[in-house]
Amino acid sequence: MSNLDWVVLCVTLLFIALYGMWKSRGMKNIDGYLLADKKLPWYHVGLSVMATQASAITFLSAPGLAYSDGMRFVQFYFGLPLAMIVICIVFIPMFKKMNVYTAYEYLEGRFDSKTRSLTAFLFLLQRGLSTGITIYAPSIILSTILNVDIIYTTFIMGGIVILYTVYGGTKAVSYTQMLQMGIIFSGLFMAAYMVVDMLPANVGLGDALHIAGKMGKLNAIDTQFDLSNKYNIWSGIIGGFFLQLSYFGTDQSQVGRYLTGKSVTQSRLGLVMNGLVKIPMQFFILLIGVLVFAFYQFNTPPVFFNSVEVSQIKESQYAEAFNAQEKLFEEVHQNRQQYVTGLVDALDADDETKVDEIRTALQASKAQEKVVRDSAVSLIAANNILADKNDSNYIFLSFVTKYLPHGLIGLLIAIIFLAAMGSTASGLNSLASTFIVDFYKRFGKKGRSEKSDLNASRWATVAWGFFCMIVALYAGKLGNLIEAVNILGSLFYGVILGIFIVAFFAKNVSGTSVFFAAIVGEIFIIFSAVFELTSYLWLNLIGCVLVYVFAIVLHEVLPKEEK
Amino acid sequence: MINKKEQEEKSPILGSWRNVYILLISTLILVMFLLYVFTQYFK
Repeated sequence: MSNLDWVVLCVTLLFIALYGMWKSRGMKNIDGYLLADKKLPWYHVGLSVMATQASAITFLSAPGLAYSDGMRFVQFYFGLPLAMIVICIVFIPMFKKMNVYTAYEYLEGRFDSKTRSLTAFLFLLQRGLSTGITIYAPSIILSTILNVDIIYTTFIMGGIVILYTVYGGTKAVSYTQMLQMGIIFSGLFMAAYMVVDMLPANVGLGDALHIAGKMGKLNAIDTQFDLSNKYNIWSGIIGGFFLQLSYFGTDQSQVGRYLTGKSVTQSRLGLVMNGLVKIPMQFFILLIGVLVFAFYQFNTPPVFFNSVEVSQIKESQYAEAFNAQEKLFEEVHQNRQQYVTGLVDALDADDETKVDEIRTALQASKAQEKVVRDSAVSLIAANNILADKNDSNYIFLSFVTKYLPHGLIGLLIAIIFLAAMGSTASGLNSLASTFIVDFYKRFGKKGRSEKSDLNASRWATVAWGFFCMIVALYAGKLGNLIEAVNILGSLFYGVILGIFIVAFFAKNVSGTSVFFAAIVGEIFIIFSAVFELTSYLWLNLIGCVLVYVFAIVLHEVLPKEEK
Repeated sequence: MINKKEQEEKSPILGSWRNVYILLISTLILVMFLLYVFTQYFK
């Protein structure tokens, strides 16, 4: 990073943080701190909802995922617009009517205290772990650009976000998120333009897409129904619908965002906006990853994208062996470039036979490259047993820092930080809200002042911040982060959603029935995940259906509760 | 169960909430169709 990049990065971050603090000044009570006084218009709600979901992981991991696995991840979002409709019709009016701070507060009125506590506890566990992963993502960047151990960068990054969230609460989160999304979109368009601009003179956007397509990266739609396939149109629409319904309908980090809307209409319009924009936005982010893939067909990529691990091995006893693999990798890749150039010519000449011929040669070359890369990765693992062998989270960052012009590097890194700040702030804010409203205020000393509750909320934010930083230290073992965070959510979302679906639609079922149904359902989901009985998106559907069916059965079996 | 006034609150766009939801579903179908064409074209 040059001085110009550091100036752009620091000025952007400082501006956003000061803007959030200025907008949230004069906060006196818990209503303002947790729900921004419920006065925000629809575009604030919509952008805040989008910024909460689009964390740094989205901008770091999604392009890396597209680079290594193609565009098929976009199908994950197909259930989202349908989930938005259900939330607009059922959830928003219900939460607004009950005038709740957290989604779980509603469950005590509908069921009982223990069901509310269990659901809030499941949320705290899931969101605490997910927010830890969210903090880890920007720590990767800091670690790469400062070339220091990730432990220090995790504490620096976590510390900054805690300070900012503790001071401003929900209002700061929402106001800054609106500005963040504007900067994020502009930066991404610039990045996409730059990737295409840096392709060889005779290779345009169409050629780049054809190359990526011929190498299996533009697999945006897979219509085959297969339970073991993570991403196809069916798992996206059905499993994705249940995941998104649970995430937006019952996860306080999102419920807390749209409860800030000044009316049911404003909250609904915010979610409709999210439903319209989300899939094209994710498609565009994945497309950037595919374009980076096309770029690296004409330029040699590093054998391993995590530069910190590479620096470490180059100073170890394995340096010579690693350098040899690196050289071999470069040779294999340079040989491959003749095929890629041939593919462009064959595509221009519309010569299908030649295209197929070159594609076969490219696949053989790719397999050879993989063998060399695997050997290099084995050396990294031998050098550092704790090393993260999956480098897909570093692909986009490595490209940005190595090839983009100065100034834009600083802006793109600022974007990733802003995204991290937005989603981590929402996560911490929701953890503090749930802890205070669903546990502290219920079980703690009664009759405290507004100021005392506000202070307790701030301390809860600090405590959850530290918990998340500790989780972040272990997040490196989880592989691609955007998948890890969704797999983790899928372990809990289906069960939590099931509890709410029973609450809304099975009016006779009592708290005890749904409480035990949720415990049995959660045990089954954990068992299914551990033994990999199905791909993770389906766990959301299974968890929800299990809780609903068990609750109905238990309602019939258990003795009736007295009201 | 749901506050009737809030449920009946008219959508400020497209005349009714029903129409807004139809727009969402239509957009989803259109996007999936375009992605299918995109996949097939570059395959």
